[in-house]
Formats: sequence, structure tokens, C-alpha cells
Amino acid sequence: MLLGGLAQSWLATPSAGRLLLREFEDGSVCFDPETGETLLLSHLSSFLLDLWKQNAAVPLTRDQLLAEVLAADDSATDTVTAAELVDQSLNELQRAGLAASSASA
Amino acid sequence: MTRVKDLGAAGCSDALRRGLAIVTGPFNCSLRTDVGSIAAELATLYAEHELAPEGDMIDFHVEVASTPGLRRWLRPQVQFLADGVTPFTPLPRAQALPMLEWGLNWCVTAYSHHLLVLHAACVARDDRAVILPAPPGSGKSTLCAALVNRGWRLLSDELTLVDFDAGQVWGLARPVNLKNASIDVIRRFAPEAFLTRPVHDTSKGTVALMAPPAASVQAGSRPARPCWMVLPKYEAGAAATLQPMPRGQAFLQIADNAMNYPVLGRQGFETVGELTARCEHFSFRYGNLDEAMQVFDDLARSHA
Repeated sequence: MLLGGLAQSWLATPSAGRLLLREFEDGSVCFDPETGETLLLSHLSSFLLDLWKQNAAVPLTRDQLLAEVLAADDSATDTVTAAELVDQSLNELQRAGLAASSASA
Repeated sequence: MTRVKDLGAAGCSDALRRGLAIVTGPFNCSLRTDVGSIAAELATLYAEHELAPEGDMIDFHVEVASTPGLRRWLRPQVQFLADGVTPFTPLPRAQALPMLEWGLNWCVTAYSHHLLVLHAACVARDDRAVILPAPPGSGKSTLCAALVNRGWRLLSDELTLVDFDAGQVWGLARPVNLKNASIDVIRRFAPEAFLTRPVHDTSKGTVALMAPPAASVQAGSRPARPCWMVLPKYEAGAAATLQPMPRGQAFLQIADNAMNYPVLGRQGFETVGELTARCEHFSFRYGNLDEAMQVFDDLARSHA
């Protein structure tokens, strides 16, 4: 899926704000009490949701998100791999209706 | 304490016509039927169950009754009633016994929202429980029937009840539903077990009910600590293989099999979360019951 240009901003949707999360070794299970939907998200996806929460729902570009991920990462993952993982997570969150880019928000 | 078997055959038949009040795990159930042909098998299936104390509240009044009218003579049918309500279409009279069991399961599922109700078998060793959720056809009931004939305690072959506060599992210690090929498999595996006559042409194929072991019924009011969740799958010829499952995936499996998860909302999420966190989880492939017993015995010896 095309995620848009590098300057495109990303933001959690309102439904992300009401999620209940429980973290396990293979990801975080999230539950939307309004819809009853339950999903298993990757650790990186729940990290991104947490970022938006900490930044008071300010839209962040993919590069800003990537910089935050690299800053928090202690495994010396290279930038290209990290960028791919961020894109995958944004895809995952977008498909789940938990994040939207500024163009489609 | 009086058990069903203490009533004798005639006393049990008589009680079934008026309403036989028994204790099954955390519930008191009144079983009633005017279908005399199932009384003897019903009495054997529930022989070890305690009678509910006089004056105790009955959770479920269930009845399988002959349908009235000319049909009674032409093509006899029975209907299931729960507290006087008929939730299902009638079935041929030959299916009266399985209908009573299915109906009672329906009552527990529909009305027990003070518990998390899992569509899962559950067995225990030393009060440490293995939960076995699986779709129909996976060999769950066959595996469950085999295990309880090899020293495991039967909590349930169909419905596992999890309480919200302590996270313990409660059983019903009711008859095990066996279907199609598994009937003869269990007859060969445990010739001493009591199985009812097979009932053919039901919506699930041919079914027979296996009486719960006496020790399981007698321990029926004791909860167990959930330690393992095992997702079984029978595959002809497969070697018994226990494969660890990460907890996130296990959560989804448990939630998928939690019948009242959508009703419970946050409580359901939290209860499934706690259950997931405290258990070890596996998928399990097996093609031979003796090998499967060995794997479960090894599991029971582990330190979960």
C-alpha cells in the first residue's frame, strides 16, 4: 500500500484513544470497548500509538516517527530496515482504522 | 448428601417426571422429561451427581417434553423447554437425550454472564487445569474423554467457566458428547466407560454420551487453577507434537472461543488477558491417543 510522501503527517484516529491494551511477547492485544473489536498489534505499532498519545495527538511525519523509533531502539537496527518496519506499522494501523495520514484524515 | 443413584431406577424415573434437581458444578439444574425411554440412560449418566438441597434456588429448569397433538403418534417429536420457553425447533424423539444436553449447554451459555464462558473442554490433574478450546471436528471431545479415563479430572467437555475475581476455572462434570468415529474410538480406548446407545441422524451426525467419571463428579464443586491452554487438532497418522504458542496469538484464540466475550466488554478483555498471562499455551497435533496421553502426563509433571 502506498503510504504517501515523506512529508505526509500521521495521526492516531479517535478510536485509538479509547483502546485497552495488554502487552505480550508477540505484540499488544488491543480492545475497542465501543465496537468490541480485538486485534493483535505489533510492538512497533503500539509504540507509535503511545508516541501520539505522549505528543498530545500532534500529527507526526513518517520521518519524525522514524527518528523517535531509532532513538528508542537499542538494537542498532539500520535506518533502511527501521523505515520499512515503520511503514509496515503505519499500514497495520491504517488498516485497523487506528491511524490516518493527513491527506486522508 | 443424596446422589441420583441413591434414588434407584424407579425413584429416578419418578423424579424425572416431576423435575430431578441436581448440582452440576456451580449450578443447580432441574431436569424434567416425560420421555420414559431416556430415563434409565439419564439416570446412569448423572448417577454420581448430588441432588440439590431441598429449598435451594434452581438456576435452570430444563425439560424435554413430547410435542402434543397427532404428531405424537405419527412422527413423534420432543421439544426443549428452559423455564417454560422453547428456544429450539422440535427434534425427533430419538434425539431427546442429546437435546437435553445441548439445551442445558445453551442455558449455561446464554445466562451465565457472571462468568467467562469458553467453548472449550477442560481437564485437571492435581487441580491444575488444561483448557482445550477448538472448533468442532478437531478431536477435542475425544481427547477429553480419553484423558478423563486416564486419571485426569473432567471439568467439562464443552464449556469452561472462568470466574472474574480469582481467575479459577469451574467445571460442570456433565456427560461427554462423542460424535461419529470417536464413539468407537472411546469404546475401544476405555471399555469400562458407560456410553449411551448411539443416536443417529442428528445435526452433528451420530452422537453418544459418555458418563463422567465418579471422581470428577465428586470433585465438581472444586475449582481448578488454569495452567495451560492447548489447542488440539487430530490428524490421522500424525505424531503427537506440542508446539508453544505466543501469548498474543493465544489471547485471540481464547477470545474467539469465549462465547460471551462480546457481551462482557471490558470485563471479558481483562479476564481473557489474565487467563492468557497465567497460562502456558500450545498447539497440539495428534494421531494416536496413547501418545497424546503421554504428552499430557509430561505436561502435568512440568512446573506451570
